Amino acid sequence: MKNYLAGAAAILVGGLMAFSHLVTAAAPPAEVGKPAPPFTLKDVEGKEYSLDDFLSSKYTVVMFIATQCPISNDYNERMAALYNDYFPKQVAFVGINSNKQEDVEEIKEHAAKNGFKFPVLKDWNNVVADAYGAQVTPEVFVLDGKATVLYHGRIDDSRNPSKITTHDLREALDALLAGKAVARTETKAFGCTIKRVKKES
Amino acid sequence: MRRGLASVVLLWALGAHAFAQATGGQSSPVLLPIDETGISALRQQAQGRVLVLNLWATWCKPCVEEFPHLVKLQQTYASRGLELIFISVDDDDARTTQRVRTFLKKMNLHVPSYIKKSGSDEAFINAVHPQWSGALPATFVYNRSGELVAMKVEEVSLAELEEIVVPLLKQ
Repeated sequence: MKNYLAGAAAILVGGLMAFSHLVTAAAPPAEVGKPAPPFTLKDVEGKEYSLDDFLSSKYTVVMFIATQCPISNDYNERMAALYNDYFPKQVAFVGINSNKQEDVEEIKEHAAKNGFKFPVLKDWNNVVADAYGAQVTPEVFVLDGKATVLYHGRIDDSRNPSKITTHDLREALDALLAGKAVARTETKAFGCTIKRVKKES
Repeated sequence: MRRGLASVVLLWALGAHAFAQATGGQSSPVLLPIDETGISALRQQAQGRVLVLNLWATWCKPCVEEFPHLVKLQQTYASRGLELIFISVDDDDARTTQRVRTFLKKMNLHVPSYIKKSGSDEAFINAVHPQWSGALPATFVYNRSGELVAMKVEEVSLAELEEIVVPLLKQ
């Protein structure tokens, strides 16, 4: 049985290694149940923030967002509302913009126009997106006070508010604030690729 | 009964696809509905050919920008055994579907393509590939045996695709 398991594991690892060079979008390094990578980035005013600055809250929502992605923009109101509803419950929110073509001035205007009260940080050269394995906008990670990832994925299951059937991020936060485990810790939705700089491999 | 109907619809869709490929297409773009159960059937039906599966949406600017490169790829290599299948993940309401059709016509696409039926996006994403995040554009290349050989979750150029596809067509 042990041999069988070892053989199966070897085949799986071998298969993944063979497959990995084909895949430009790897599985996320910031995995549920494990600590999220630390970061230090500047906001649109040049103020520096580290992940540690947020972790004194009960929970932190790290949101990879965009200014030009229509899907991310469909969530602007929802993101502002999430902040208003959960910040008073000691949930911190931070936006991260990793898109190479969206500059600080554009991010600043976008945040002001949409009434974002949470900081939006510029991730030049998509360093933090790479560290988290973030692929899409919008994409969120919920962390506890030790930066352990408790939820990763979408905000809800439809860009169209009238078609939402599961409010995944709200359900995750409500469960955590009630002292319960998150029912669905990983979810997916369509969105825009994070526009990365080309790096030498 | 539902399954029976779904199978009939799928067979008709696959038949229409094969017919249009064989006849060189029609003037009006054919847009067929598809859900997660149809994805594996599409892949099976393409075995023996090199399959390029492109997931796109009208709201996705890089998808729209790369589309002509993919059409060019299809036009250049179809006779050598390439099958290119476009799947739009736009909403399938009447207004959006019309927008998709208008775009396909503008792109001069003469093979049938697909539009995702309303339903779980996540189930659809996982049916395409469990490692795919759902980010667009996304292009998957399969060899003649139906094995995945490339997954590009970014805008791709004609040269990049040719580099992957041409050796596969020779196999």
